[in-house]
Amino acid sequence: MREAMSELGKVLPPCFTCNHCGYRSGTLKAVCPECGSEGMAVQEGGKRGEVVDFVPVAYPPENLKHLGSYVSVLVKLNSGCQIFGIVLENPDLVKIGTPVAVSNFNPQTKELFFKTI
Amino acid sequence: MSKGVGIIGVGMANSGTSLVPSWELFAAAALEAIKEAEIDLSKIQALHLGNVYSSFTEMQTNMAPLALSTIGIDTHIPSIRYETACASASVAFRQGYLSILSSLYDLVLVGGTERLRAISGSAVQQAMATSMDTAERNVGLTFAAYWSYVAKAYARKHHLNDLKLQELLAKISIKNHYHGAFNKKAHFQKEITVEDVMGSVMVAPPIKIMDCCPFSDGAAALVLCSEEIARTYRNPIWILGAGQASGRFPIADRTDLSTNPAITKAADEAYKQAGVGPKDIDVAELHDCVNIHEVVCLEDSGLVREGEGIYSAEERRTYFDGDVPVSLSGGLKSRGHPVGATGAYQLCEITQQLRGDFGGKRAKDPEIGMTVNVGGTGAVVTVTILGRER
Repeated sequence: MREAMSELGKVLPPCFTCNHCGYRSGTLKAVCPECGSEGMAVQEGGKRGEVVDFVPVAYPPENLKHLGSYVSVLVKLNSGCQIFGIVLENPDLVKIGTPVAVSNFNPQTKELFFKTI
Repeated sequence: MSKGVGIIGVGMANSGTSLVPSWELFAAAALEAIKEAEIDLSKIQALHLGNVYSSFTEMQTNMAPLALSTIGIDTHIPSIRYETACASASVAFRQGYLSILSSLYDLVLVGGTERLRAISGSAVQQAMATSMDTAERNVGLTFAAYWSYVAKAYARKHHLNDLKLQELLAKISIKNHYHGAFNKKAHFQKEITVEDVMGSVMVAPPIKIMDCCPFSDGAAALVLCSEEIARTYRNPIWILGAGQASGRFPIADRTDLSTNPAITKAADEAYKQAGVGPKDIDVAELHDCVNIHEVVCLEDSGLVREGEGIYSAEERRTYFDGDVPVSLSGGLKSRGHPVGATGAYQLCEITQQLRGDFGGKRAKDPEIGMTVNVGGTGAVVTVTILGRER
């Protein structure tokens, strides 16, 4: 799975899916926490999704200071995976249910940016 | 009847800003506990110590034997450091408890220590962020943002508008500062007003700086012993139950952020061991790292019903003279949050509440007390129940 992850992870965040029960997670699971199956597969998380919730962050942590303030977003990707990301637009543009698309993913730092669409 | 484990000595350093390193802080707290227990250092058979960030904040690892050496214990006993974020000291306590229950030892020293204020706040925040999922913090999730997600999820579930939510949360900070004003060991010994909270800097809406606890320096220690030894003391406090549970580590994997099933699991385990229920708890210290978390702890441990926690301070239920007295130390908000020591402070404070010698606001003649100590973003939880009798 690691090899598949590193290939997929070059372009978009990965999504881990249970082939048995359909459970999905944005983070690596060796065994499905829902059904116990070892049939976890990695696939592309997808480019689009919608905002599940969001929080404007006024004071960014040290590793993200260069961004200034930003909006933390919890996004449900069209693949069904739920994942956190960053929106750098006006916070007023972000609401629950706002459609977003991946604008930039850095496979080294894993920084993931979305833009509203 | 199963074996019992008693607490025969407690010691706490002042929470706040320390001029000495964390191992010296712990030595002072440990000696206070040892003196109270009236035991010789040579009688201690092991040290279980909570500590989280010393490798970042003090450039010091291998903390447990260093603390042992600083106390002056030179009997080659085992010493172990536990790191489970903010729950480190209560996990250390629980391991010490289990080591006596298993009959491995009869008398152990447990506790926690932390020094965070000798370096910049941003460096502390960086260190603390390591207790979260690396992947999630790289995509902008901070502790404040996490608690904001929790507060928003709670507000949606219970139909609270933003202003009402913020006002009710402010009442929790006010309550904890009220209690802390009477606690001579507290980091902030002063009362605050609604205006202080509502007018404070917004960190991550709806969470403001006065909704959050400070970073503190501090250390606390307890002497635990077997029932046989404890029965030779006039007023030992008994460990009736000690539950521990783990929550889902990645936050994006959680289905409902307004609740933490790990708290419920740890509490159920502790209640079952103790043979009591939430209604039997006379006093509690809860983990109000951010005031919304006091609400989550109250509800998920069963102390109040779902949806009642947010109103508990406004209705004065969680004040020292209410029906659910919570965090009479001032909690993390006012007593302070020396991360790797916080769980030990809570246990010392409940011990003193039950003995009737806590140096601040006291619950009315409590017989059973409880602590809820939570690590990181809810990934580690301990719930401990103490009693005057067993």
